[in-house]
Amino acid sequence: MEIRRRFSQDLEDLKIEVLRMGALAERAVDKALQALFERNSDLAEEVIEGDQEIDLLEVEIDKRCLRLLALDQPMARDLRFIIGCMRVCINLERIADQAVNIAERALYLNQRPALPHQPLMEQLATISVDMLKRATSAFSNEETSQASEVCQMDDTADELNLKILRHFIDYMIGEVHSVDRAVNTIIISRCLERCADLATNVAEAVIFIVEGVDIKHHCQP
Amino acid sequence: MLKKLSFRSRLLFSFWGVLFLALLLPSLYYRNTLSEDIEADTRSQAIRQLNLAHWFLSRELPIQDSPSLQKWCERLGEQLGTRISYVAKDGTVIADSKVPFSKVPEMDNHANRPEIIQTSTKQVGTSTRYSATLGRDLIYAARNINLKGSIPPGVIRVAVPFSEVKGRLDRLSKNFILVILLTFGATILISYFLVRQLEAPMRKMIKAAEAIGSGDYSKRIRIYPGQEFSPLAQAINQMAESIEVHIKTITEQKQQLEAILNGMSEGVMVLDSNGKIKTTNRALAKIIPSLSASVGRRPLEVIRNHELQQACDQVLTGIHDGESRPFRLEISLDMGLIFDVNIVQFRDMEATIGAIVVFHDISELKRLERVRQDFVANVSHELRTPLTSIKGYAETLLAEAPQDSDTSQSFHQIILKHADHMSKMVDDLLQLARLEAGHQPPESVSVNAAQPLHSAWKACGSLTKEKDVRLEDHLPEDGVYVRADYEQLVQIFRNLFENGIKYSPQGGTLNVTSSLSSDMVTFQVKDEGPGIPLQAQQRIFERFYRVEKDRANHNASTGLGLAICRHIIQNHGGRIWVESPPQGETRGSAFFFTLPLVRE
Repeated sequence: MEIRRRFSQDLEDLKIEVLRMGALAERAVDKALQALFERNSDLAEEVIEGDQEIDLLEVEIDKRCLRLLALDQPMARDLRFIIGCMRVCINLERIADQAVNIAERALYLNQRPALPHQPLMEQLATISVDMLKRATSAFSNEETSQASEVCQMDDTADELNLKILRHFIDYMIGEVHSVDRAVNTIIISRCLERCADLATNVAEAVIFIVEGVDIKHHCQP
Repeated sequence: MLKKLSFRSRLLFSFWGVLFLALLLPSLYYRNTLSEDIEADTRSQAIRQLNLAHWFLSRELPIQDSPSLQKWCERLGEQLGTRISYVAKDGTVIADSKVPFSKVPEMDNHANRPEIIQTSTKQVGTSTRYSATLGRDLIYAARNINLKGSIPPGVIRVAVPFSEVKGRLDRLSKNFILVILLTFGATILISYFLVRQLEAPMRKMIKAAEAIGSGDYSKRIRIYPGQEFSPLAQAINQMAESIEVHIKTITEQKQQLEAILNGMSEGVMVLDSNGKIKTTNRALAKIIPSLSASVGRRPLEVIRNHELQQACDQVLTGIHDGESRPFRLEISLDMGLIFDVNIVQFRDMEATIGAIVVFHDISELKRLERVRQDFVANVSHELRTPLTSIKGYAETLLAEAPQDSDTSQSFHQIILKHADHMSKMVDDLLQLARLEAGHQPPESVSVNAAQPLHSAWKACGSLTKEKDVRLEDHLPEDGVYVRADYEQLVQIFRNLFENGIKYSPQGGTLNVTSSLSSDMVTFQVKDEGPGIPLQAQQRIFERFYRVEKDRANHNASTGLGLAICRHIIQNHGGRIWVESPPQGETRGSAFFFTLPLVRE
């Protein structure tokens, strides 16, 4: 009984750690986008510096998961939960890396005159951040309906990314002197699209934890 | 063991025990003494008859031979109703009253019979036993006798039947057992009724106690089975009463606390020693919509902010001494909400540590602070730019006036242009101040919105020519009547048109539409410009707020237009907002505002 109690306490702590990582990743993406849209280079620097904490947290969570797997030999849902946490944690770390990429691009763009306002970028940013928030919230509440919503939103993000790419290609043909900025913006758009993909992976891990079915790559349980 | 039995069986068994002792023992005793008495009586009767027979034989009768002895025995036996035998010393039977004379020699030798053996030592020998000859229990009595004549000396024996008495005794005990069984049966009935009488009030008492146990504290026990139960009933009643009082106090206190908690404008969260949420108040649920079903979870699961979780952990683990001074931190959540969070440690009765987290919403405070800071920075910037130009040109003119009059003319014109700009800005600021103070209640009359729209468009004439922008007026042809001040309505349209034209591409169009709801009209002014970034959309209605990149290509505007529009519309009871890009489009922006509708 005591062992069981300690084990469930360990699982709870693991969840809190993953959520902590989720909160940090969300914060990183938010800050990177703020740095980009408000042309605030200080925030971009903060994101780049803050990435180390997330990396350390990933290593820490990995260790926890391995220890739980080795010592407690969990079964069924507990096993899925631990495996799922490992998947979520890998994806969150990658999302934080994408935030760093965005912050680096923002640092470059902030030194150059601003490109014309592009609402598609804002839409993509909004949807990616929303997907990430929903994915972590689905993990927190272990709710599959929210997770499948995230999976379905991914198509919109992909579509927006393509539209942005097309828009900037057209733009570059007309305005040769802003090719560098447009390319950087395309990279940012690509990063955001990756964020959305990774958020989808998190959501898939949540469905794996709760229902025990693997819906990787096809978005239907 | 007895304790496990039901009341009924205990009563029954006690009854039976008492009955057993009271009836069976004495009756057994009496039965024994009675049978002994009867036996002794029969024996003495047998002895008396024996003595009588002995007396007759030895004194009176002239009996010489065995046949006459046999006849005498038969006669006397008939008279006395007994069996009389004469047995010689060697045990041979010589005469017997119940056996015919011819059969007498065939009889068994009687020398080993107990009563005969006894005669050798005692005068009279007795014995009780079953006689095979007569087939019943008999009491035998024998005595030595010496007869004259040819009869050898022997023993005279009398046998009195005993079984008659015994039969009576047996019948008696049979009746006795029947009586006992009947009384036992009666006790079953009696105990059943007694217990039943006890059971009904008892059951009521149990029911009342159960009701009290399950929360109906107003229940009282009024009927109880007997005097002995009255202290119990009273104790239960008292208990129920004190529980009722306690519960009432606790409920009142809880309600009070809840009312206080829910009445607070600050969000409150109570954590237990494991760092899990115990309760939250209504204000917090309003602040954080995802808070539903938060009880029993950790703060991070509900509020995605790791600093808050870290702070709670620190207070709970005692790293931060939260009892003496609260842990303070500022957290920002989604949708630009900023909270000042205080975490206080507390100990409950079992001395476990918990924490109270208080959320104070300071987003509005922070926003106002930022608006004020921006305003001061912006107003000085906006005033200084024209002032610097005026000062520069005036100094140039003073130091060395240009020779040709064209240049000096253009210098003077620049000075005048900047002075005009400044005075316009001051006028706008004054108007804004008046609007904000609300000294000028709008002169609300019924106005057809088409008229002010067209006069506003005319006023923008020079700008429209420069940019070649067209107006598409989609207002209904029979007019839209709103309750508004005519001049102010013109100003709203003019400010919106100026902005729209400024950001429109060369040869673009401005689109004006209206839609009616129950009591408001919503106007929409749509342009084809680059649109407004999401972050700026909330702030463009602030005084002097400019979208960052616009500051470079300084348009000749005061930066107060939208602020004035907002105030005018608010004073009319409407609201203004922007959508960029407008729904279903990829570029441009649309300004919406509402005004009260007048129905003819």
